[in-house]
Amino acid sequence: METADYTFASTSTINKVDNQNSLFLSHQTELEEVNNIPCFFWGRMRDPYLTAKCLSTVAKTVRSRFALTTQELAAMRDPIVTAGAEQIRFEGFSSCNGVYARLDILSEGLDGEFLASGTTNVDFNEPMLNALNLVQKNEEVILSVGFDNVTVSTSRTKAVEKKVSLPNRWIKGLTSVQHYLAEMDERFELNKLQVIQLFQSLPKSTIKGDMFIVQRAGKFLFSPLQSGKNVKVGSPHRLRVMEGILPFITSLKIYESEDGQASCFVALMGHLQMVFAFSADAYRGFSGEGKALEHLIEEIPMEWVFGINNLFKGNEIFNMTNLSIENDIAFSTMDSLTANLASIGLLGFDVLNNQHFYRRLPFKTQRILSLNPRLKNAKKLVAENDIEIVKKINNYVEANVKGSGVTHKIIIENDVAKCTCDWYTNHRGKRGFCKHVLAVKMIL
Amino acid sequence: MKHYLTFQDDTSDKFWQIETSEKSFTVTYGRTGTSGQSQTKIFDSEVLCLKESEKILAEKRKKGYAEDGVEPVLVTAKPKAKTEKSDKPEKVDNLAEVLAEYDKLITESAIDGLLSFLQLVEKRHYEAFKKHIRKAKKYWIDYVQLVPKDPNKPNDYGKWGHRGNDIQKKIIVLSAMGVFDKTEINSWDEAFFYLNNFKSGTMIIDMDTIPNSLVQRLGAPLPGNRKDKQVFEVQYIKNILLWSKPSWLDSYLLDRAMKNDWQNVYYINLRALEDLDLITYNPQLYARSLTTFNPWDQAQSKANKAIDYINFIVNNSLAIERDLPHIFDYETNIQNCYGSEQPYVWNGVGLWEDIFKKLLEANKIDRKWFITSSLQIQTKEWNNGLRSFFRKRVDDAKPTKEELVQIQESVFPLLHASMNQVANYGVGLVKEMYDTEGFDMDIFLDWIQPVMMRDDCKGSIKILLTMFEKTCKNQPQFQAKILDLLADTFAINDLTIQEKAGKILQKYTAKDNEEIKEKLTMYAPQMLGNVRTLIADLLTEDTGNEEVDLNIEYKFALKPTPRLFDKNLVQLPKDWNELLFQIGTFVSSGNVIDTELLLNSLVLLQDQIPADYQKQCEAYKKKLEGTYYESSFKNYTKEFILHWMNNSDKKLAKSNHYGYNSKVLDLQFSRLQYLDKKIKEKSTLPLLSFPTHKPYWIEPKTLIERIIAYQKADEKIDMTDLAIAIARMPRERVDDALSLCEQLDGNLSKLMKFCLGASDKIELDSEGNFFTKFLLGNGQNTKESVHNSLWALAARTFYPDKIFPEFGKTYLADVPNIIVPFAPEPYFKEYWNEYKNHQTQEMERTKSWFAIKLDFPPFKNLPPTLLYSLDFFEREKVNYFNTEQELSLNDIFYYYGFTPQNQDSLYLLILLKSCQIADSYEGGGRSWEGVCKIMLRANTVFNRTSLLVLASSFFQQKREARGFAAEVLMHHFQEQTIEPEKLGEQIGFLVNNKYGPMQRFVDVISLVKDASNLHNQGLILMLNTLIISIKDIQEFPTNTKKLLEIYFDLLTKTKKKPSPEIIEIMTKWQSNASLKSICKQIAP
Repeated sequence: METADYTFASTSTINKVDNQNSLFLSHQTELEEVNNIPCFFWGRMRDPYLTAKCLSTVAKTVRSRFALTTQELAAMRDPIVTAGAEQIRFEGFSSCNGVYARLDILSEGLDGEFLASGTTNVDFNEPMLNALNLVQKNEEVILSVGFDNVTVSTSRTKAVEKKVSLPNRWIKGLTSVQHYLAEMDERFELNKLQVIQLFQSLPKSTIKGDMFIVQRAGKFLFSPLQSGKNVKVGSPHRLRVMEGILPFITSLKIYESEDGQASCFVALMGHLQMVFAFSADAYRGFSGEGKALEHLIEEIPMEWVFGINNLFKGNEIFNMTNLSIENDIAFSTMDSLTANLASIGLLGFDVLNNQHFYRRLPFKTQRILSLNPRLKNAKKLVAENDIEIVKKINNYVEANVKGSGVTHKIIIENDVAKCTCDWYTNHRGKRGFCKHVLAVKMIL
Repeated sequence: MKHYLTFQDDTSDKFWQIETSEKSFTVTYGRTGTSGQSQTKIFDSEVLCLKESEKILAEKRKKGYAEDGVEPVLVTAKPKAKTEKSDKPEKVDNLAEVLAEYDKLITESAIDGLLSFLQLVEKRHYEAFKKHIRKAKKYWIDYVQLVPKDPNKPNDYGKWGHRGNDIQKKIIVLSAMGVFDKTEINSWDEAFFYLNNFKSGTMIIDMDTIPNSLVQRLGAPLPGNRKDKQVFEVQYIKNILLWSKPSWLDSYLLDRAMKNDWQNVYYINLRALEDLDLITYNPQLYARSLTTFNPWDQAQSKANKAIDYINFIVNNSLAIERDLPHIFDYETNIQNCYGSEQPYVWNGVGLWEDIFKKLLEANKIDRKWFITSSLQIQTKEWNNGLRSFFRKRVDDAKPTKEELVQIQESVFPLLHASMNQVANYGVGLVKEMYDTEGFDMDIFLDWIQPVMMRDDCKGSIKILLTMFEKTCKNQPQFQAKILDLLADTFAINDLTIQEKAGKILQKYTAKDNEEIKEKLTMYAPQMLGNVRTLIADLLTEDTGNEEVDLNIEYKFALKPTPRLFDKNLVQLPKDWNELLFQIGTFVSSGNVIDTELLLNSLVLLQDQIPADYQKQCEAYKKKLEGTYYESSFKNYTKEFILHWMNNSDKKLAKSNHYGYNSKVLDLQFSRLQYLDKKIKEKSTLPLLSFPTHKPYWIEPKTLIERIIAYQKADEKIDMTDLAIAIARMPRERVDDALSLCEQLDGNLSKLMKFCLGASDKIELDSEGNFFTKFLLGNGQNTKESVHNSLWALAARTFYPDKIFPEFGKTYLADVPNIIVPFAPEPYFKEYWNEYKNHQTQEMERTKSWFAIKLDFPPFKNLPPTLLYSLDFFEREKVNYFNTEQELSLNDIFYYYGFTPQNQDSLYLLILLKSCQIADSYEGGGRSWEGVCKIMLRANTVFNRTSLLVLASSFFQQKREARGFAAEVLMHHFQEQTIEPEKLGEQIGFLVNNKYGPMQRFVDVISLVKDASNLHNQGLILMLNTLIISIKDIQEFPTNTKKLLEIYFDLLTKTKKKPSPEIIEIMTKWQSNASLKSICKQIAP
């Protein structure tokens, strides 16, 4: 299961009759039960011009690649959409997995009917995007997420079957980015002018390495030097995906994860908001699941996971406290549960309101479960008996773990874990535990 | 479920059997005829068991195991096996026979028998046969060592080549093409060349590989061949494909095309395949092929005429109607399609330029469709050259104003393109049509908004301003929208644009238009020069105009800060575990202290190192062995750590040459040798130079205590160690140390007292006997030089600028940085390279360039203690550009860590190594981060050399260098710890000598400008001296105007008046047309 393959049965289209456009989004997933839902939302967009710009930006993000060689095709990738709780969210990743974009259309931005709740893949094709670009400020646009095939089969656009392959790492990105988002702190809030100034200081060329957003007097700018209060942005040329919406931003909030391994930009535009998250650099995706590994050691019964699926609707706020009270789950287990749920694609995170929201990724659970190689490798070390506990007293554990050709020494003292392997040497715990430490923790 | 599979090849004949029963399966395998071995596996469920067994069964089949369905009835006894096997000899032998026959075909190069052979191979043998083909490829086609090298001959590499001849190669590839499927053929690049000669049906045979006996059989070659390679007309490929009807041709060919541009199959071959119904239509593949032209026909050994191809396309309706439209759907290489004859040669007329022209002329394609399509692709993220090609085609088509208006909806999306050339092009088209009837100004004004803020579209904005001015006048209904757009232009840092927008706004904005006023007020801090005054009544007073204290004046003063802080006390690893992980820290750290900590722990914690330390270090050893550092300092240290891990008895030797041409950094190696010796001698006294405070300081008291400990233990002191220790010891907390000095030997006591500032008498000694008692010498130096050089080092450490005539009578008299601070005058020198032109046999010169040059004295062997002198000697020409290899980022920090109290020599070395030219060669310029970071450290004192280093960083090609430089400027302006006037002089020196583009410098000061009033004051002082030092410049650098615009803006903001001298220069510069208006504004 290296990729998730599916074929859109029909094509997304935008039709213009008089002064009214109708945007029909075709959807498809691996999950039969979701596929059977004909339509999730049907209604009017309150700000179609701006929504169109934002949708183009989402499309631009999922079509961009910042780290792959030209040999790797810029594959046709499409965002996923979640409808429910009076909101619609489009989210997706760049081909290189390093840039995450999400458009939230808040309830005030929509005027229509939510027919079903759920998450699915939507077809973003070139003709539709071009037509979307032509939406004028004074026009009306009807949005239909999913539709009855029959209704548009009369459209003059030829329905060509479109095949899509989503690589596993892309899907994994969707799960990992939530862990980063969940521990982000707000660093700066910029007004419109400051946003323009910030982007003017962004060099035109491709940037290898890091730059830092710093404040100098009232101005924000990119500096190569880390000093004072700052936000680290790796390969910041990737920020250019935001260019299309810059003129419309009223305010921009900038977040950074505690460990400085990811940054996030939330653009506020009235009824719409866009979230962009950037990995530590162009050559690293959000595929490193290191963030959540510690919580994943504790296994959660699968029936809970499926049970939760029945409790929540798409986009609904996921309130851990209520859930634990109602279902009699210990609070301590909730962290593990939340991490597990996010890792298997059931939770998204809203940085602005600092809360998880429910949405089930439109992929098979087995596929998502197969996405944590470091955890798998750790389990393998345990299974193959490659761990030797040398010493264990109070808060001190010393162990040897078999590596490739060498033996690694692990010391866990007062919850601080060290290992002689390359992973720890290079990252010093910044990117989660190495598989050796995980394995030791598992058998303790 | 039960399956019995067999496998046979040259060396083996074996079977593999699987049998499932409920939740378990049993696998039996071994040599055919034996009972073999068996293994049973049990599963949780039946389903799982079946699934797993099918999986491994599929794997076996993939490996070439064939299933003939019949399992031989086995009797355990071996001898009988043969008889049993002969029960079904036909089939088993049949495969062997097939393979044998195939081998025979190859051996005999009997290509004409291939097809009839393939037709006979039964499908059930395919797996084994395919495997056999792959093996044959490996054997016959791969480039291998035919004769092994003779171990007795040093320069013999054996004989390499291919076993097979060209025909044998073709047999194997054609077989693969006949029987392989989509994935199997994918790795066979060879098939491409065969397919790409499909139309001609010809094959090139490399005659050099063909034995004479075969030549006759091949028949007569086609006429017009080259000597070495002959071409034959053959139908093999066609016949084989017609027989096998492969389904992979389109995906295979597209895959090649996507991988390499030169692997685009030619359109004629594609069409030939299509004619025989061999290929599925694939629009992307057709688009790519159609736009590929090969001027050289390899098979025919002659040139293909571009004009023939053009005529073919222009007259082929299928190509035009079906395939050509896809050129606009898929990315192609159409812009690079050239021929070999005039006018279609490279950079002449492109084939497709001509094809489109002819098609349009003959009305074979729709003009409006063509222009629209060419415009539509502009917003795709396609290759820039490709998009530019289609823009040129639109230009060639010369659309009229009326035509443009008809397709205006296709033009507008260009305005939102991320590439500025595309957006600018869109503006250009709009300019053509905006005053034509039918142009929808309203919609256009909606589209144009993002362009108004793009600082990479300044040219377009200027055009738009003119358009808007006219529109406001002629079509007042659009004024509101236009004024709103104009307000956004203040996002752009450009005086001309702002002035013009300001004028239009001033003219048309109603005084009660609060919306515009609010927007303009927001932009007020961005407004340049006197724009704010110009539109003052459109700005609300309260915001944006925060009062700055204009009375603050920039006053330079150094701000010495202490070096020793208790919070920076160095903590040694407390036990072996911490020491072990300190190795890991060293591996990935660039900090001086991490190396120092590790090295000293190895000495101080010797008794804690466990017996199995080598085993525990295994992982680090492997890591270090595989790591190469850019820093020479770190590489030396790495070698030492590995030496220690190997527990070698040998003396530490330089195993690699890390030549960075810095004698100071090389000192690390002698330190390590000394350390190695100490460990071997089980000495546990710390290095004198081991820091007590981060990052590299030594508290005086501790240093004296350490020296006393050495004296007591009767252990000799390493003079390099002592020198570095002195360089690292600040004159802080000296009282405790001074009282201890009495315990030192007389001469050492005198030296240390001088270092601590208790005495200023330099006690030179021509004999130097006293020190030899304590110091380890290195043999090369005289006693005198050891003694005196320590004094010289101490003197220069604590008095960087002082003159010491005392050394005039010593051996050190003519050594740099001893008597006077070493500061050679930098100058620009012309360089060029010469080469011999092989046609004319004459020497020719490259274009010359100018680089900063410093004159150093010739090389002289010096005592290693002279940290401030070692690196200054005239070097030989090192590379093409005559520039030195720059110091690596971390080496700059390590160097600084050796000389933290006097960095003049480090800056001089940086000037030599990083600053000679502004446009460093590929990969260069990495040291600037280090340079700027050390400039940001406390107690930085700028002198002529370091100011010139900073000035040159403003002009570096590397963008990061300039970014860092802006930070240095910002910091030191804030602190007022740099003299702007002196920096301005150095910048002037560089500008006068055309060191680098002015724009780069302008970018740097734009970043610093408006950070605060103090910064603006500093910039004015700097620019004052810069302007004065370039007043007589003959040729103004491009963008001098921008420089003056900033200067003018600064004057306005700080409410300063230019000095009379500047006014005089401005008046003089007015004679230059481009500078006239700005000079007038500065000095009215």
